[in-house]
Amino acid sequence: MLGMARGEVATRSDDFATIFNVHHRRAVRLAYLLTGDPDNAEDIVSDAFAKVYRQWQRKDIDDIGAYIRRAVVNQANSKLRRRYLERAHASTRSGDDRGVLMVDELAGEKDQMWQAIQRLPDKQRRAVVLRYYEDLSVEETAEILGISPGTVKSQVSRGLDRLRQLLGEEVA
Amino acid sequence: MVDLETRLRETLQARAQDVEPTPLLWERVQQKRRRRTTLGWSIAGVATAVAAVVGVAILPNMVAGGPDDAPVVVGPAPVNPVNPRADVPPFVVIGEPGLVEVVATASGEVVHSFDVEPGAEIVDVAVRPSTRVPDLEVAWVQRIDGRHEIVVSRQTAEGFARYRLEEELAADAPAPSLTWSPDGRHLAWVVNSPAPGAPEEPGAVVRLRIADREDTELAPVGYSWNIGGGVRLADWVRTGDGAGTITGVSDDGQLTRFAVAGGAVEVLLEQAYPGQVPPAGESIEADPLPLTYADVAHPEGDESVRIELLASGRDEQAVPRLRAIVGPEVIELALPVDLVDADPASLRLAALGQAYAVLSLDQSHLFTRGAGLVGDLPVAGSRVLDFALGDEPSEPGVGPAAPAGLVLSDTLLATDGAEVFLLGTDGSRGQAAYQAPADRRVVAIAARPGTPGEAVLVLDDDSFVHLRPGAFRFSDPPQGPGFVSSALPARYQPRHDGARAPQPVWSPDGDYLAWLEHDGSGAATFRVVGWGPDGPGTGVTATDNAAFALRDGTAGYELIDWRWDDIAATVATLIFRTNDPDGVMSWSSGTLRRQADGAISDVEELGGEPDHGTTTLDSAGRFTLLLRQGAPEGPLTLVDAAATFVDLGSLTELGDTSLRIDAFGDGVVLYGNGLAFFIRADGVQRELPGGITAAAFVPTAGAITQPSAGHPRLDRCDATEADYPAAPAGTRQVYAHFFCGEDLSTFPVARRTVAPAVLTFALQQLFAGPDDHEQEIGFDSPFSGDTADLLLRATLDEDGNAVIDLRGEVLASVTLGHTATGRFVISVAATAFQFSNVEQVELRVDGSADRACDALAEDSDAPCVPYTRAWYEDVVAGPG
Repeated sequence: MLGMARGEVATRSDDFATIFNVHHRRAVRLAYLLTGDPDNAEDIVSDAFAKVYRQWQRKDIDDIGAYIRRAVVNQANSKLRRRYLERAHASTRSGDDRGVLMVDELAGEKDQMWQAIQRLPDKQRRAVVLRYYEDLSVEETAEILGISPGTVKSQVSRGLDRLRQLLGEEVA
Repeated sequence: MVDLETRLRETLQARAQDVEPTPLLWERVQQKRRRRTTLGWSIAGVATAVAAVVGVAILPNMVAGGPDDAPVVVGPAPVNPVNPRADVPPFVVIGEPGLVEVVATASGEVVHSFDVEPGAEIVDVAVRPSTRVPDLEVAWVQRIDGRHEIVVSRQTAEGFARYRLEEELAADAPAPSLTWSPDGRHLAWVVNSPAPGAPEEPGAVVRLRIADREDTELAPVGYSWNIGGGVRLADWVRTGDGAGTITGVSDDGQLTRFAVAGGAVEVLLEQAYPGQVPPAGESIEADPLPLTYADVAHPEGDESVRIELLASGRDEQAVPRLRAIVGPEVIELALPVDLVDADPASLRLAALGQAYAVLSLDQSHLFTRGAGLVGDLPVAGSRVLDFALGDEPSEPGVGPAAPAGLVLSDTLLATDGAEVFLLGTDGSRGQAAYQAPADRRVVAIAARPGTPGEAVLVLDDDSFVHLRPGAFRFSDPPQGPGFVSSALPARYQPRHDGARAPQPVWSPDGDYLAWLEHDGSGAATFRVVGWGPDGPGTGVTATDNAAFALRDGTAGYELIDWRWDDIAATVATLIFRTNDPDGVMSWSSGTLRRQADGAISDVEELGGEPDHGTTTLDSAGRFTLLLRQGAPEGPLTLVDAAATFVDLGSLTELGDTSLRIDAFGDGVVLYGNGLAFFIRADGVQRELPGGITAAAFVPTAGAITQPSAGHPRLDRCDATEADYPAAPAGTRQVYAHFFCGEDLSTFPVARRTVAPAVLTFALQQLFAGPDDHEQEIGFDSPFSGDTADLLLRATLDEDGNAVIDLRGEVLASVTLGHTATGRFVISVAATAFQFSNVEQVELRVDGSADRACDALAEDSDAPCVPYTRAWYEDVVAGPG
């Protein structure tokens, strides 16, 4: 026989909130390290979680932490592109054809290593942050960035060389 | 001293601790989640066709749009094309595991996501007919923890109401399914329970339940029949006041109709097949093909349409077929290429209203009864769905839409024998280019590769064949003849006129024109004429006018193709076609050698290869092969360079003796006997107007208006698009975006064209830079006459992804500092994003995205990802 039970009202928001609570802090910090911009970090992370939510609803995610990390990297990448064009605008208006305004912004920064990290080209910085902050393997880093492990090694190596160069210049 | 890597780690960890999320972050996530639009699906200006299996009936008038549509569209696109004329409901409701979403059909935008319990698998969805977006009510059946439940949820209300079904389910019978009454007041569902007393026997007791939705407890009335096999509810139509018919479909294709009148329900009929859902009491014999799935729709009135998915073949050899049955008419629907070999049992379909059907596999496709395939569902793998009405979401746009699909810089020219004219993709006849003399007819058009509009026409007066070289030129308004031609010296003309006019073939580099002649003997003669910058003749006799006798037995052969086999272009493969007296078409190949001085030294026909087909090359040098399997009436198959097979049916009406193809991208025009069809690699076909005897694609550069020929002019550089007068009928006005002073804001310069490839045209105009007058009034640009040839090709797929490929050697001449790079990118983006269906732009150099990154993103400071419309609007066009 048929049996009917009046159902209760329910949502999934509470479950996703739990995931958010577990992962959002580290996600914001990763976004900050990737972009060097604390104001943009939350914007990146909110975009990333909004996209993760859909996949999570579809139960397509095996490792939610890794998925969030990848989403943050992708969003940060988009944000960096935007910043690049903003700089192009700014440099045009100031007549600086080579300019990277960040140099001036960092002039007062005391932490030489942090200054140097922020002056890394974006690709090198992404690889360095994922390897040395997230402690990901070369293969894991390659997968997230969508490049080959060889390219990851190359970018990390060039990043470290660049850091040495920058620190040496700073010290000198 | 601590090593660098340790200090690096410590610094990153320390810096990370400096950042703490704000309490507002969760709210921002919620806001963005609600307005996300993650699904990619765009309407394309291309059409689809329905091919019948018995013969081929390519339905006319399938293609919408006018000359704006590009004649060149392409796969392998990630999605199938969408017929803009198809009457698609504005919204589709998709059910997947853990997901019930309302998606705008045109844009793919998710307009609402219903809350679904974690772990729930959605097995059926039904939209309440009396509701519309944005206040849609949806019922679905879900399986959770081994139980089945009906859930009813309203778009404007939080949460959902859930009703548990506790009846036992019959093994292998359809899962519970549901349907609404036409007035939306009642909800009906079936549960297929095991037949009592014989659990090991297949079959099920169908328990139909109907409940009044307005009752708080959804208390149903129930009916049971032992009709075997189980039933899935497909439809409920009104037949009179308080009366209606519910139609159920079993997995073996049987239809079961339940009459509903007042409070009573009875089974009317257990078998109905094939054809229109029959009146009560009539029974029709079953079709011998196993039906794997069926659904029924009632578009209007008493007309019913049945959409069927059948398995043709047995067991592992079975392949799916799809057809619509409307009254006595059975219409075979062409399946998309990616589904033709699918396991029929893995496919499902649903129908509603104007007979829309959906197949579910990795991709889901929408069909209409009249136009066949109309597009992909925006969510791959969606399992169940229904369609919904509502106000269609307005699509944001900044300008006219560029033609979707790969837009090559080609123009389709066709002839009916009397005239050569531009041909629109909808079959419309455009501007005339050439009028044949009264006593002659045009029998072939051979476009010279690598040139802007150069071609040779073949004219036949029933006694002699003449070749007439020239160049197509179009302008707006028309100025003089569209085909500027000159007579070919007699020594270069065909010497022997056989029963059939020669079909000249160009070498891929455009350096030679060749054809076969027949003098009545058993051997054909291979004629070749060298072509220089000024036309026929290079000054080297052996090159200019050479003839080679082929072996006996080649009478009636026709030269089809010429392909260089090596980079040095010294050895070529020739493809010949022959037709025996029975009309059997076969092919053979030959070889050709060229000396260092350019003279052709050797031509040899190597013998027949009956399994071969006729081939054609596109502008990228890729070949497409046309095979006739089992001539003369066997099926035709197209095979492209990516080994994509497109079955065309027999197309016997084209005839074998006159059958020819011309390639462009991954599509071809196939014509013969005065009929012509446009066919894409994914199987999309359309019939071109009757009477076409030949066609050719000609590079567009010769078919576009020049800046001085009718482009509107203003006297200041800070004008907007609105300041320009509208384009006259028959032309498109597009804009190249230049700068006006030092500021990085771009301003439009109008350009007009009659060519369909407007994205390509706009970019060509951009890269040519502002003309003298425009520079005088202040327009500035990184581009000038030196970069006029910068564009290698521009493509636009149906998701709005534009790929702009630049010539590296030209780009190398451009000095790009940081500022110039920004101006370069911004002006390209502004020009591309004027077309509302361009969603992102990827730059390449000689086909390489990496080379573009290296050239345009110095020091890797710009991440190498495509430029999106959102980025453009936020960063470039936005207030900031």
